Amino acid sequence: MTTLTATATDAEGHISSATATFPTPAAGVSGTLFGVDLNPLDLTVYPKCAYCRLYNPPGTGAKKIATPKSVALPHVSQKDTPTVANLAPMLDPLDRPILWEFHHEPEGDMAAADYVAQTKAGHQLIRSHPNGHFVRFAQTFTRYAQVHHNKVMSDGVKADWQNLWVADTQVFGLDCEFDSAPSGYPDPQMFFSVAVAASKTLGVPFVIPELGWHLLAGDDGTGLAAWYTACANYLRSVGCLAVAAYESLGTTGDYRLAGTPSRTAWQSAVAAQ
Amino acid sequence: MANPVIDSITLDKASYPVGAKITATVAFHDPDAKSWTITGTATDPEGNKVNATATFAVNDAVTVALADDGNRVWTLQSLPGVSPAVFTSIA
Repeated sequence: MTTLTATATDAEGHISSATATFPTPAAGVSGTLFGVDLNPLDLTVYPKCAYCRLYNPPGTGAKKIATPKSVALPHVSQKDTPTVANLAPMLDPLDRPILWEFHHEPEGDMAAADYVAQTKAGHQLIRSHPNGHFVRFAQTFTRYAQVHHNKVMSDGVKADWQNLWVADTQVFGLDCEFDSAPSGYPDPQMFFSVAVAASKTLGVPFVIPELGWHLLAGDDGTGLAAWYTACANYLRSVGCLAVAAYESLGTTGDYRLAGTPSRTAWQSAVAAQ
Repeated sequence: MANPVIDSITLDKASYPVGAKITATVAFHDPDAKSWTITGTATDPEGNKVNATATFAVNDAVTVALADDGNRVWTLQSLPGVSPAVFTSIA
């Protein structure tokens, strides 16, 4: 359950509080789709899919969202500089809440000043659109870069999220995938600590748009499947808004969970919501 | 002076899917608030009278904030200091 606390304070500093509760929305999703919209096949595999990550590659702006309304929360990103024209296909027909961001995983890709300026510009353009009220702003970084501090933006600014965050962004995103030298499946509390801490610091919810790890040598798949289950359980316990599984096969262009034990485990996690 | 009183917190739904809008309404009042009715009377030289009344209230300014253990941002959508306070967030 989520506990709401209302606090009333008068001019003399007298304070009263009261609480109420509601069921915490469970985080869960399909395997991540490397495309611009939710594939109906994902709804076959994950009928209770609650979140879908939609990628608009460079040159495409932000396309119209075809994912049926009320099926899942779309999380849209675009690589192009936001403009009235390239946001219009997404915004004009928009009829449900979405998350949106400019240039996910920006670490090292451009000048920090440009990333921040274009993110702000996107927020302003969306806010001024009649359907802008449907949009919640997200910014998604990579766990690897935020843990290892190994990326620098092209203007010399360190690519730590604190240097790139825009004040009116409402959701903190962190893509969490395999480390360069995995020696085991990481403890979820440690693995998601950057996202949990940032969420608390900023006072905004967090999402894990990409979650994945390699199948380790000697594992028949049950170990990786158990790790996915542990991650889903942990993320639910700490109030994660949403998470998408992402099998890092690397070169195929299809990042859905393919291994049977892992996919079965994730199906159970999604079905539980 | 007494503490302000929160009368109720009401949610618009019993449960929410991820990403849905949540509306929470907080009713409150200031127990120190008082109101008076003043009556003005006008009398002409013939003794005819006409009355008019007005009511005014004196109360502390009460600020209401909402938070939850899921780190959501709750945005006040109603006038500050006026009950009920209506907040929205996303599930």
